[in-house]
Amino acid sequence: MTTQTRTIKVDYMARVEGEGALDIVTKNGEISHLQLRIYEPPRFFEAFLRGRRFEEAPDITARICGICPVAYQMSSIHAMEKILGLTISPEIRALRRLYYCAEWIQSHALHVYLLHAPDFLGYESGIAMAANPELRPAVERGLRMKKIGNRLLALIGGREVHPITPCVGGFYRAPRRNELLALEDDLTWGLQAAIETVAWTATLPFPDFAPDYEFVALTHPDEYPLNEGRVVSSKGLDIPVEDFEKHFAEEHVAHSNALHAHRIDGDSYQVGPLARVNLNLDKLSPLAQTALRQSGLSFPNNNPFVSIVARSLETVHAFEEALAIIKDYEPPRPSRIIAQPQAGEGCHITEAPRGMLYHRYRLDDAGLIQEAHIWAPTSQNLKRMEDDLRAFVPNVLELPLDEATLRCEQLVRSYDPCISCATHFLNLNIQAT
Amino acid sequence: MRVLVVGIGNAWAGDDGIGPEIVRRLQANYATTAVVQRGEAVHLAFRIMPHPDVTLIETLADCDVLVIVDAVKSGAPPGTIHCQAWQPNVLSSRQVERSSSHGWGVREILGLAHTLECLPTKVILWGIEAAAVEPGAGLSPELVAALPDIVNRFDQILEECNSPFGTKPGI
Repeated sequence: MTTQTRTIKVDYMARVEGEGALDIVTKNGEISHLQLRIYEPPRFFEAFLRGRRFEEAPDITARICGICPVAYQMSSIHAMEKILGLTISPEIRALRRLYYCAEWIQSHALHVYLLHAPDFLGYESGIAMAANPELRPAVERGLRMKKIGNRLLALIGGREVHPITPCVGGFYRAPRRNELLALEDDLTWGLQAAIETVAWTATLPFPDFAPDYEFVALTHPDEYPLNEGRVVSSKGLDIPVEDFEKHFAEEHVAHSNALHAHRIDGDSYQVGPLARVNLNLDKLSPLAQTALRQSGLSFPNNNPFVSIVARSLETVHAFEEALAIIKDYEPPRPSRIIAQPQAGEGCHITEAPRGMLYHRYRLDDAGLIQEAHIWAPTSQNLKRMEDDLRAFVPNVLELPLDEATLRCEQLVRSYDPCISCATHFLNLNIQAT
Repeated sequence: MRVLVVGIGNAWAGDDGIGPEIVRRLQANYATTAVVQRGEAVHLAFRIMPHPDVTLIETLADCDVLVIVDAVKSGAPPGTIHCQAWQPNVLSSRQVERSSSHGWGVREILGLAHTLECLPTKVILWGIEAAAVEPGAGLSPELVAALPDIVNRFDQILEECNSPFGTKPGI
């Protein structure tokens, strides 16, 4: 019997340490081994939060991710406010939603145009895609949308990366009305560009693949979920955030330094844009709903590759909601409520661009953190990504190896994995015996 | 002439912080951002990026010359200055951009800017050979010792930027 070993390596990212790899071994066309190995060194954030003051949690956790610091700030801030019994004003609440919209815009625009679309169109990168004169306007559109998101984020957060103004109780500084109004024209352009993005992504060739997912996302009676809501699933779960750990568990698996989250019965689940859109269709903004109807795609949709359209729909929503908030915006006065330390325990979930981000903290009387737990969206999706690959690989085994590899990578990229918390090098090894 | 100097690196990863440190020193040295080179006013702008990011592309429209200062690992003695004009393919591929939304490197960003025709006419890579790139604040003793010479090199770079004959591949 001959043994055929085929190896493909996809290296990236030198500046951050850590490594992950996807190993697939097939025997006689059956998968005998499949692991998405994450050997990024543990980062110990939960440990170094211990002993720090409650006010420091948003600044420390914002450092977990350069792309979605807003999510980390918001989940930690809300959790602390629950413990301390703070109720924020409607003005602060609106500013937080605007701030979150900025993060969605910049994160989604980058992923849709530069990271995921090239897969569908047969380019190895956004750079190669931009070299095609027909696609160059699309790349430029994506970059301009991202820039607008960045500017809005920097204006509210103080700077683009690891922003500094959000705090427990509100914002250290709230933008002035005229500062935000100065962005109105750009946001109006961005809204139109986002609508065009939906139409564009809806025409991409989607592989035929639709597993039986349990989608999990926040839902809120009056709004598309960003900062708060109940946890619901496509299989009937409907719980308050406080019950999250009764229904979900984290597990350490030997091949991954990122924990694998799963339902309490062991099943995987999916969080992120596709889950949010599927579970909150009627809460999308009016123009996002119109764009969805015109896309010709049907939702709820179980095809993970269609997440690129879900991400685009959410970008329409984010631009439209940002414009609405700015229209009525008045700076909150005061911009923050000063909190007094007190002992207690609290948790919160907000919707990061990649999905639900759960934080739980326990404070002592002096407001020092005794215990911190953070469930990143990517670790919630990891088990699901492995399940997807297990179901998907038989569909591509007949393809040439490089094509099969690309399809597997494309599937992984559908989840927009937040790689600063997980994979830094993805080496794909497919062995066929 | 408008010159944008971008220092890339993480101050919490040893010598990876050399780029930002050089930019900080240049900012202190050039109290005014306007200097005169060969009778022409040169406007300096500085930016520090903890890691390379596509947002760099957004600022390129405002400069005629881009100088990128970053740590380099090539096997040369620590503190060695590698200075050259950027050209397509001058930096080796890491296929950074394929899967990671965090993995945009200098090569990929300059490559995209080049493709989109928004690179300034002159792009200078000013690399400093690092001794140790490991978690922890502070530069290695070798780089601390070399810093004055490294920073002084900027005058020569500026002169080259303003050269009517263009920037030589190896400055």
